Amino acid sequence: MDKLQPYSPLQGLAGTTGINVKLKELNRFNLILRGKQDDNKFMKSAQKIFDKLPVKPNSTYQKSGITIIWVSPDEWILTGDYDKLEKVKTDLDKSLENTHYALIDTSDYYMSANISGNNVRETLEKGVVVDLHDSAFPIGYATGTRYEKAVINLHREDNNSYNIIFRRSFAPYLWGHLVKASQEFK
Amino acid sequence: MTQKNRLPKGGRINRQKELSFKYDGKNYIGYDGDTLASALLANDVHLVGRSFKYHRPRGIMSAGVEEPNALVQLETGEYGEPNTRATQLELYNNLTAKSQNCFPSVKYDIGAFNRLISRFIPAGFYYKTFMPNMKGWMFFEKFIRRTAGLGKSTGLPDPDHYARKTVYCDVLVAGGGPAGLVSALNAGKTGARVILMDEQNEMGGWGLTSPNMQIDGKKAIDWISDMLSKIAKLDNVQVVPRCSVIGYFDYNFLTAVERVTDHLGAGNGGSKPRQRFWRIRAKQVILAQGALERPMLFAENDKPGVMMSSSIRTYINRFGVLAGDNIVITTNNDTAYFSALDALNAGAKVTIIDIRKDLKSDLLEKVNEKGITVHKNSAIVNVKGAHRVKAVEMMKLSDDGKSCIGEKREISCNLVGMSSGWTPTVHLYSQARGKLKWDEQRTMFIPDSCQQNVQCVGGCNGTMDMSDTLNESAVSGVKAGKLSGNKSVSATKHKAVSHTEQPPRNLWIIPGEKPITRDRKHFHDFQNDATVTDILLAGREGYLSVEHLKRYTTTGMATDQGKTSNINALAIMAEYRGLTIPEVGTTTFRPPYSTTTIGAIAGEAVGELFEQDRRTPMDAWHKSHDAVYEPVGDWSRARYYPKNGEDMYEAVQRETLATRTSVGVMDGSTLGKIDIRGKDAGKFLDLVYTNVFSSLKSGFCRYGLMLNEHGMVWDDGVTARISENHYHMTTTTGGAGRVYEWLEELHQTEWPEMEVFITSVTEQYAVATLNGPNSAKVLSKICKDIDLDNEAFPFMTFRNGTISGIPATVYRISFTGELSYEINVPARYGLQLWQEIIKAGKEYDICPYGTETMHVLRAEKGFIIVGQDTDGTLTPMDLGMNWIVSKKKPDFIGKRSFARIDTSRQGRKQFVGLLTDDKNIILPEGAHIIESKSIEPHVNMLGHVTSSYMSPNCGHSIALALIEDGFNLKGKKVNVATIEGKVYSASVVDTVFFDKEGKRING
Repeated sequence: MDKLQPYSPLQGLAGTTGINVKLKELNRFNLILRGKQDDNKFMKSAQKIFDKLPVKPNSTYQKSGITIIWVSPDEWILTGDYDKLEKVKTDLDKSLENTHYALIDTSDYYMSANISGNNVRETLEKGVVVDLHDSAFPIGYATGTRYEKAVINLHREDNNSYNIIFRRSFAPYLWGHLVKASQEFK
Repeated sequence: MTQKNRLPKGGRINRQKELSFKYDGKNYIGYDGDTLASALLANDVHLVGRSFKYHRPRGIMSAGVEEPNALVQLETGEYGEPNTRATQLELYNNLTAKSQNCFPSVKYDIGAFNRLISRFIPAGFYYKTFMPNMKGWMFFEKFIRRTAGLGKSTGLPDPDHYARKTVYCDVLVAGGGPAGLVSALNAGKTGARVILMDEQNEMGGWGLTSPNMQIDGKKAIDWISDMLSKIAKLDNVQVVPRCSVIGYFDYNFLTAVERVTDHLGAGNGGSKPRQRFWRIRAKQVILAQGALERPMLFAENDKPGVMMSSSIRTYINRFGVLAGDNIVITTNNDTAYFSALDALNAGAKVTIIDIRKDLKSDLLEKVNEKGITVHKNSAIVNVKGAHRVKAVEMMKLSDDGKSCIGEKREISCNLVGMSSGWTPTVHLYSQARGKLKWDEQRTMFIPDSCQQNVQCVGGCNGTMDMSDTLNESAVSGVKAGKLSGNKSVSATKHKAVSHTEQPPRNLWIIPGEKPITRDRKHFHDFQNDATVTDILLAGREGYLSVEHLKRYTTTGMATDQGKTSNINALAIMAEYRGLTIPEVGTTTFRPPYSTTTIGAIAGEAVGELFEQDRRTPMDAWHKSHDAVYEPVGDWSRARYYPKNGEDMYEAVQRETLATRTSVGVMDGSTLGKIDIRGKDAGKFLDLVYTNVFSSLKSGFCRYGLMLNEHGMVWDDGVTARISENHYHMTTTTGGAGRVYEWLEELHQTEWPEMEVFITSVTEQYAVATLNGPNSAKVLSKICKDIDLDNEAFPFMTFRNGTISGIPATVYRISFTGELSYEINVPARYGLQLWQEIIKAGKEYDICPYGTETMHVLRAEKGFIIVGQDTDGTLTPMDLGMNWIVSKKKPDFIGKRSFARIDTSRQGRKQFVGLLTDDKNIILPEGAHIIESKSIEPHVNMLGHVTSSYMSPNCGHSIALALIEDGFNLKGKKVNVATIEGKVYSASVVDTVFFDKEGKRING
């Protein structure tokens, strides 16, 4: 068996320094699930696998290490540890068979990183144009937005911790921005 | 050097911390808490620069953002910065600055020659002189440019780091004076998210200038710290000092610049940015910017040592600096009397020249008691002294105030304070599109109404009484908090000791000894060196509208944006035209309110982070193999791989030949890829492509052309049917985004009933394209689970398998006409795939090639590139691609437009090949195809060259072109003109130059 050699464009790039902002790449899968919120058959079949597909705009649902992010009335992002990809995909495909849906593996299209620390919000405020205040962006909230010119999905998974989903080709650009933005807080 | 003008005590400075600085080459000492201006005045330096046009000596005129004169060149080398306002520049240790617009020095300036000829350089001088004589302008421009203007840019890269941020709040309070503090406290008490910004290093505003004013039974200065500690207890209120709100845009979007580390000195900011640009979205805005004092327009009012009367007071109370010990204060209102009293208390001799006739004020009695002489109904008619005021000459005013009468009297002095009333700072309100109304009695424009959620309080609202200001601010703060969705609380109540103002006397022009046009200069705009007579001249020459006036005299332009000059200029024009001031109107206030660095606006998005540079998964290999890149959209793609010092031509010839001779490989990862699923997917594709996809069998691929509604080609690509309800579409690299959005829009707006999901998968796959007769041999070495036999794996089909263990989908499609395999793998394995291919291809001398070679290879086969060979005006028929337009389908996008008269007519521009008579001539792309052999006008253009290359495989240059009625011209000669003026003869031929039979596709 040949040895697989996955390559990340973030390999070798300088990271954050200090303790107040920490940025790390995550090895996660990324599935895009398409289906209609008002399609009972679809919703029921999906909920067989996860007890719940979040339908409230910008909400997320987490269960057994899998995060489901609401994207639009007919789109969700499913993400979790990369080694769970095959199982989630197989289970869902099986359950959703005979419904109108699409389940697309975009684990290579989109990369994930976690940014955390005491000054994480000040760091994100530099490039993100949405309101990050607790009242507007509580824990569990997620939205599609930008950091500077990079399109991202930003998910606040804990008080001072956010997961960012971004395109592979934007990875060094986004990484460079976040590292630079964090430097004043080290 | 001692600080001659520093008072023994008082001020907000830290006398324990001495700071040394250098100005115009001389060393001085100041204190922590000083501005450069206050430190210079402490050292009795008034002369700080030369004026813009006449090179007149100019001194510090104010103590803040309105300063028109004291613009200095700060630091040298990479940290150098021109036009820095000394009145806003906080002093730091070892600061170095010098005067601007003077040579060789501020005291002896050659440019001052302009003063002698000033009669001959009135407003509009350059237009008048050079409009009829453009050649003269071309010659003189460089000399004029050298003498004009203010500071000099360093021309070096900016070494500083800047940052931006975006914040949201319920209430933004702009201005941290007493009004702003009360507003912020009251808004904060409602629970609102409040941001309070002030441009100064500490909050307090007017309270810092007038620290002994009584508010709520306390001295203002103590009251301010009281307020600040109350505000500090509210964690929903953020206080940001050193931060100027500079722009007010639609939907309560405001911008501000925070000077984060400027005060630490050049290069001393550590990891903090020098400045931070704030983008603020506020539900409610409270403007508490205060008011600015107006200069009085008497003769020679620009001499160093003439300053705003309130700034004399600011320097005393805030910085412990008495700018001169023998002071004349001239005024038309009461506020200047407080400056006189503070100056007297600080030890100065003070004389007041009041232009008002009948004065019945308790203030008058008070100053008289203290021994200050007040000359009523009098005005300054001259200021003596060259580099510093030595004396003023004073005369009585006539009854109507239009002239001076009686004896001239000289009063010696070394400082003049002037006040001609106050102008509410309505800049941000106006930027917000707020309407202003004119208050005739107090001669000021005050806020009237605005569509945005904004309130003005205090001085900028025209509320000059302190008690009124504080109570109005409290109410506004509560209101703003409530309107932004917070709880209602009762507003705080305040009481300040007030003074009842006597009415001012409004003489916009202070008459001199002679009629104004022959008198000494009365400056109204100090930064632009514009005088009262310039306004009158503009009037005489017909520039009556304020907008014309502004451009003709430059009044209100430049870095101070007319903060001290606007109202005076409008009033004089109104007087000249016999109109009221509101009838004349105001010019538009534009952002920024105060000058800002471009660096702050750019923030961290500079250098490599200015723009995304998207790279493919194989990029590490390209980089290490010296690829030359080409920008394609926002991607950088390998264009060619030069070997042994080859230039592009040589490298591309080699790569083109090698691919057709043996095997080549190209990185095609940037191609757009779209996943289309659902039971109506085939139906959907039938509508967006010209040909049929619903009939495509699973496992097969088909090339498709996409048209816009006008029937014009706008994208192309190969789409594969993965399974019954599942297609994989590819688009051009540049079209990936727009095609995806277009399909989604069509689905949502035109055919929402269709069961189809469209999802972009562009970057999921890395793509390597193997091309050439040996491509199957290379592939077979690393792919064991796909039968590559032509019959088992025919052209226009795909197979799933593994390449060196990497899961892959291999498409047998071709953009070169060679036996080709387009290998798609998950992007993370792209680099590994590429390396495996290169390794396996070694024995066949595999040639990696870039986009340039791809262009040549496809042109040899006559394949179009959408966007290069097409320009949005071509139908498939124009491209000779009738075969791809379905005759059976009832409809598809663009079909209906084929019936348009112009679309269906004969003789449209058509896509053909060109072969030059001389096979070595490579026509320039874009070259015009013309009827005649001569390029003498008038020539008829028949079309143009869209693609042109040297084809090593044909042994001949080849070109593709769009030519009117091109299909009928095949076999005939045309002329191609180049921009150098040459004309080449070429034959119109078919677009396929190589392998016309298409035999090579199967190896």
